Amino acid sequence: MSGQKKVYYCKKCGNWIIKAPLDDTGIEGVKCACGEENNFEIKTE
Amino acid sequence: MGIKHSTTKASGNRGYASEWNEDHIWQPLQNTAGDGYVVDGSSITTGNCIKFITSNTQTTGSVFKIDLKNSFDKNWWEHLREAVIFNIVDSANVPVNTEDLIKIKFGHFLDVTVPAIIFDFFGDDYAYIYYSGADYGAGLALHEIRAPSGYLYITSPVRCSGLYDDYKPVMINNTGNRKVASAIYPSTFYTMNDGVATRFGWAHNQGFSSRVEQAQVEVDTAGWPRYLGCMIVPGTSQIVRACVWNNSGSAQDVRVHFIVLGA
Repeated sequence: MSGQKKVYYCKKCGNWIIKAPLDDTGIEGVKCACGEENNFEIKTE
Repeated sequence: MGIKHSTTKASGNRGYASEWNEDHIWQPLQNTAGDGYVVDGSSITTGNCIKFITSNTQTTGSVFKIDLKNSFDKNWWEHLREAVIFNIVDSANVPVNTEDLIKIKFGHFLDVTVPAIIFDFFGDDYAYIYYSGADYGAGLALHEIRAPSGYLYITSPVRCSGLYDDYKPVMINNTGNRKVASAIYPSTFYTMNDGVATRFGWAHNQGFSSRVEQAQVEVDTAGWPRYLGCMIVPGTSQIVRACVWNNSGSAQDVRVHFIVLGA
């Protein structure tokens, strides 16, 4: 569906970290503003 | 006037994200008594190899920090016509190896074009190099580069004409050859929340048939966040990486694309 994205959410604080295209394969790691590192879940929105 | 070279101990703080805290990066280097090693920048001429000698033998977790903000000012850089080589060894004259971490901080505003700076790390360690625009506070982009092995060339480092505009990413070449751009991949927009950092990576086999020897990262945003940096890791792992962090105060659309050279 057009406009949908993969949204990375921090499991610790719940805030979204980054919104990526659905077909993205480039993200290797993320660090949330709360300091949590690579602890996320991905939702399609 | 010279540079100060200090060594401090760290507890294996080698990860990406643990180094992304800008408060940490911008803390003044800690110089231990008797630990300084001074090089007179005026005595260094084109093609010289600058050797930094630490005061102790490297051990696992050692961190070698070098502050280049004193004699290595704009005038010094501008008198260069060829490459200058930095060579870091420990007190036993042994080049730093895989157990050690190097931090080099450019504490002044590098509004110059330097032919090439070569950091000769010898080993296959990751080396961290920080550029900072101290003259403008913490507003300029920081760069963090990890050199997988051998020579790391940095050409035209951080040529900026203003606070946040005209920012140019660094270009590195671990083979010593400059080549023309042959591909651009990919070009995708991401939306980064405020205060977050992301590591991007693309395998060379995604559109390239041979090993990537040189890569450049460009980061486009609508309004140039105050804090935005990138990191490039070409080398032996068959992947090119960049890290981008956004501390602009608001969410930003960021496009990261790699200009792959020498593929």
